[in-house]
Order: sequence, then C-alpha cells, then structure tokens
Amino acid sequence: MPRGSRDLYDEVEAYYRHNSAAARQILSTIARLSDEVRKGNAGRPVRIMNFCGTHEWTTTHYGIRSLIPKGVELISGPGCPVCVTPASYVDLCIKLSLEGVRVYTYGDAFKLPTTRRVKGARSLEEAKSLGGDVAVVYSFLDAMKDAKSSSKKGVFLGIGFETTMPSYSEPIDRKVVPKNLFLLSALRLTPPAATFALEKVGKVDGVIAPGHVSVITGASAWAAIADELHIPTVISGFEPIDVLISIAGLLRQMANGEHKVEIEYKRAVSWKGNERAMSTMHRVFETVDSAWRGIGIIPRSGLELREEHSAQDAKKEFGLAEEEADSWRDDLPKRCRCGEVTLGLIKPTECSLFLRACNPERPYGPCMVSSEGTCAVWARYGGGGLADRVAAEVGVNL
Amino acid sequence: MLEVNDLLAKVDFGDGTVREALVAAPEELSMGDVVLVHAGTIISKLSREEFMESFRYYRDIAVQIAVQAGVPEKRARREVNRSLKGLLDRKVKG
Repeated sequence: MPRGSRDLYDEVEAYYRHNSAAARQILSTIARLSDEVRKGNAGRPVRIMNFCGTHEWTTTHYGIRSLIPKGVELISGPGCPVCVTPASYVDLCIKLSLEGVRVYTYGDAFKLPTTRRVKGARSLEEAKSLGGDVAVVYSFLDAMKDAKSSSKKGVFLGIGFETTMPSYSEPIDRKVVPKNLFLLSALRLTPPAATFALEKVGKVDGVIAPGHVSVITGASAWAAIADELHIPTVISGFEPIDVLISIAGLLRQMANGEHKVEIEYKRAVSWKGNERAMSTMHRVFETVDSAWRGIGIIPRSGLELREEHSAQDAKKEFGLAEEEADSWRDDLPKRCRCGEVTLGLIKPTECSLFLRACNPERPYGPCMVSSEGTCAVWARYGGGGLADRVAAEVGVNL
Repeated sequence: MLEVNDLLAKVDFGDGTVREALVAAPEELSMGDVVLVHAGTIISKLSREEFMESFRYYRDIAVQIAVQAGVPEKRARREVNRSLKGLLDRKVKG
C-alpha cells in the first residue's frame, strides 16, 4: 500500500479530527465572537444553517451544538438527496423490479419507503423480498459492469446532488454505458434548494455550505446567497475542526458586517470548482424545475437527460408520471413531517413519530432511512440535546 | 492512487480496499496522488500544498480578534500558533 495515502489520511485525523488543542482554541474564539455579535443584535440567537447531511452528521456526532455557546443555533437544512426523491420514482422502480427489469440502487435508497404500496411493496427492499430484481450497488460504474454481463434491461435509480452527478454524466458523455442500462435521473441541485429554504425559514445569519457539492460547483455557486441575500457563507470540510473553524469564520463576518463567500475547505474546494465536471453536466443534462418530496417544486433545481441522450433515459423508456405541482402534498406517509425537517422548519424532536413509530430499525419516513437524513443522524448520534443531558447526569460542565 | 488511464483508475482506499473509480477530476492525475472519491468517481485531487490552509484561515480570525483587543499583531500570531501547538509549522507528509 503506498505510504502517501495512509499518511495524508492520518494527517487529516490528527489535525482536523482528534485535535483537542485546536478545538479548545477555536471554541474560545467562537465564544468571544458570538458575544460580540449578540451585543450588536440585541441578544437574539445567531442562526447558522447547513445544507449537507454529512455536515449535520459531523455536528451531531461530535456534539458540536453542546460545545458552542447556547446563543448560536445550528439548523439542518436540505442536504439529503434520498430524503427528497419523489415517491413516484420509487414506485416506478418497485414496479419495474417486479416486471423483470433489474433495478440498481444505493444502499440507503434500497430501504426508502414510498407512500402507497406498489404491488404489495413499500420499498425496493420489500420488492426484493417479493421476488423483485433489485441490486444494491456502490456506484453507477458497478451497475454498468453488471448490466454489461447480465444483458438484462436495467434501471439505475439516479439519486444525488452535484457531487454524484459526474458518476452519471461522465460515462454517458463518453458513450460507454451499456445500451441495456437506463438512468432514472433524480438528480437535484443544492444552491436553488438552499435559496428556497432560506426564504422560508426566517432569519438566518450564516450558511455552512456543503464541501463536496462545492468541489464540483466551485465556491462561486454560493455567491448569490452572499451577494443577494446578504448572508455570510463559508464552505466547510467535514471534520469537526473544519466545522468549528467555519463557525468562527461566519461569526467573524457577522462581527465585521460582511457577507461574502469564504472557503474553509481549501484542501479540496476552489472558487471555480471542477470545470470539467460542470461542462460535462451541461452537455449531458438540462436544468429543470423539479419536485422535492414533501416540499414542492423548486425552480431550476433538477437535472434531466438531454434529448440526445434519450436512449439512456429511463423516463423515456419506461414512462414516469409527470408530477403535478400539488402532488407533493400527498408524497409523504401520513403524519410524516420530513418535508419540514428537511427545510429546517422543525427539528426531528418536534415530530411526534420521532423515535416512536419511526426509528432507524423501522424507518417510517425518508429522513430516517438515509444516513444523511436529519432524523437518522439525530436518532443514531443523540441529536436533540442528548450530549447536554448526559453531561448534566455525570456532572460535566459543557 | 495506484493506476490511472483516461477513463478509470485503481484507487487504494487506505484500509486494504482497492477499487476502480471513474476519472472525473479536472487535474492531470498520476500514481501516488491522493484523490477524493464519491460514488465510485474521482471528483478531485486533494491538495497537499493547501492542506493546512484551514488553520491559516483560522489564524487570521483569531489574530484579528486579538489585534482588536489591543495585542500587537506579531505577538498575536505567535500566541495563536503556540495555542495551536505549532500546527502551522508542520510539514505535511506523503
């Protein structure tokens, strides 16, 4: 094994993860800055929003809400592509799998519940147990290899944000996808969803922008939020030290009365991003208005295969009911409040089903299924103040 | 990264797993590069040169606060670096 990769991985762990000296220093800076900011805003809480399930994972897993001042609130925004995939896509895949088409899916989408049973199945997992042909894969590349050897008609449930997009667009652009494999594009774009959420959720003082989406789009994709909505924005890495530094960066901008885009995650993100992936994206996909499950239609927030790639398009091959503007109202199971959780309007603990009828072992709604869903993260890693309660019980001052 | 051609690369995930990945990075890739892989696709090379930049970004923030509180800038930079246990002086291996 080449030493290089292990060494750099060890460096990430040492500097950006298991680094309590840096954490203490950064937390003291955060405390000083938050005092200054709150003096200037009459003591109102400072609200910072993230747009990535992995940032919410880091925040919750490392107990960051318990370490920062109580007057700084971290809100989880739309950052989970599985959570927002319309149920009709899952319905189509369940149906096809039971009709002899091989359906390829990621592990978390395998368990994604639809809203009404299709041929007796509520998810691809249930469809498989009923004899459906469902293959869980790590990537579109894996599906391509399987489709080539199986020669069966196959559909890939193409969930993802910009980070996943190149895994579809590159092989389609290079025309190396087997003719029997079709893409059902459920791709969604993060900046339009962020803008949509920011307009619904009340005052937000700062944005932690997603790190790997920004590797693709570039930091420039967030300029509109900083320049037009006047919200400080920092593009953050995924280690706990990255997130703490990003919070400090946002507070500094607030204290200085600034609103610009800054990159904390310099080791991976540039201003322009991956221009190769972006230009391939525009060749292969067109940007369209699209439905987000439980939320509604967000303008220019989805990607559809262009006409010249229709031979690979599952929607053309198998048909997919076009979503009516209002169909999203019925798109979640009864009493599931995933749409509100995803937008950051409520916390998982405000949903009456959280950790009761809906838990990681028996997920009822989409936000509990995906590893990037806010409800799943909170359920697994003690969101909702568990760290505070444990600290109080053992007598540790947080 | 172990091997690369125009379309595919063999990537060592650092825990004994070696997998193929599609190449979608904008940079020229060579063996020994450390890459970011998402859903079986290389989306970027990780920059060793900018590896510690986050801490420089943080140092600017901490120094600004100290200077605003009346500490001379040179002393503020020394103190922040000391409290980060000399992180910014470390060379990144690999």
